[in-house]
Amino acid sequence: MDKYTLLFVLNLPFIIFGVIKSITLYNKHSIKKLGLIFRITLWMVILFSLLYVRNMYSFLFRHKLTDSVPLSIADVVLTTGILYCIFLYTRLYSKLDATEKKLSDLHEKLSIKSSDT
Amino acid sequence: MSYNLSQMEVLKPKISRSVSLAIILPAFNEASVIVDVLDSIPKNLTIKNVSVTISVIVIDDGSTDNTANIVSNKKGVTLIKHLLNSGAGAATHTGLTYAKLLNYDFVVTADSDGQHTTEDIIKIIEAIVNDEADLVIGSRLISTTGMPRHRIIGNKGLSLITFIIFGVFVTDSQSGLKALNKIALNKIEFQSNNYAFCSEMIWKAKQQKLKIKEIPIQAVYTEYSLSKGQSNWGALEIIKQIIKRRLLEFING
Repeated sequence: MDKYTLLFVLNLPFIIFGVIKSITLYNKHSIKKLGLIFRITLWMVILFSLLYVRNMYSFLFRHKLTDSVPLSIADVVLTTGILYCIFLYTRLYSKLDATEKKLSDLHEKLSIKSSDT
Repeated sequence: MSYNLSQMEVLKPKISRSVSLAIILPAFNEASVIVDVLDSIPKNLTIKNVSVTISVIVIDDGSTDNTANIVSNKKGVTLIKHLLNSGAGAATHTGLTYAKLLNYDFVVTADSDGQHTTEDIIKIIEAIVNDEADLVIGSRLISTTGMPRHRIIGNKGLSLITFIIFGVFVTDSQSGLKALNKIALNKIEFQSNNYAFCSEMIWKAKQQKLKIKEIPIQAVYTEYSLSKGQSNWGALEIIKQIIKRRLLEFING
């Protein structure tokens, strides 16, 4: 398989999952419209970057803006790894924040109740 | 001697309505000053025929000194003890939640290190009771007399960062003296546990299209209050938290 196709195929599941997850969260009212727009835009930018990565490389090489070698398997693995990290980071960051909020609320309720006011 | 009803009306001050107001004091290791601060707070006020009944709520944020004991021995003061030290933002949030539960008409948040004068507390109560805004902020930076230079720079810097990140400009975003009416109390929901809550509160007020007003106050800086307040290094933590909140707003909407 062509390396550019391989790069696209490997990363496509993250993008699809990211988009579906964003829509699901929006429908469940877990995120607002702004959050949905931000997430969908992020995944679309990644999708189009992966689709046109060969064209971008050719453009940059033709105009002598880069002299790097064409895509290697290591690049494919690295790019997929970075994308996976972005995917994990956005999920963990919002999950951690939600957990922090729940913990603060719990502490607050316990403090009010235990203060016997 | 007996008075008829019309004569009695003349004798007593005309009170058109009564409102309840809670003063929230988040406190962490303030044993040496808390009594003076509590004594400086008026219990009742009459503002333009409005009788204001004031309740004081102290949130002890897990103090390791005698703060909680001192407050609990003080008559007419409600004490809520945080089980864990959680920060000024969390303590203020607990106070606001409690005030919401008890359905207060107005809430004032103030520092418990003796930084605010009684006159300024009354001034801010007057502004909120007179319905001048939904959120009234006591600004130490309209007139900076008596304020140390490094504090002026630090606070102005944080106000500027609040403007850049949240798009709302106030002269003193970090002021602890604020007053909220019931609308603001129910609409403003912040998450920051540290001092970044001050900026976040203003941001949330702007998002909810609430009317914000600043009134000049004088900050009393003593050796004690200077040692207690946030340092300019602490400001970095506030900036980090402000950026985090903005970023999470993008991710979560």
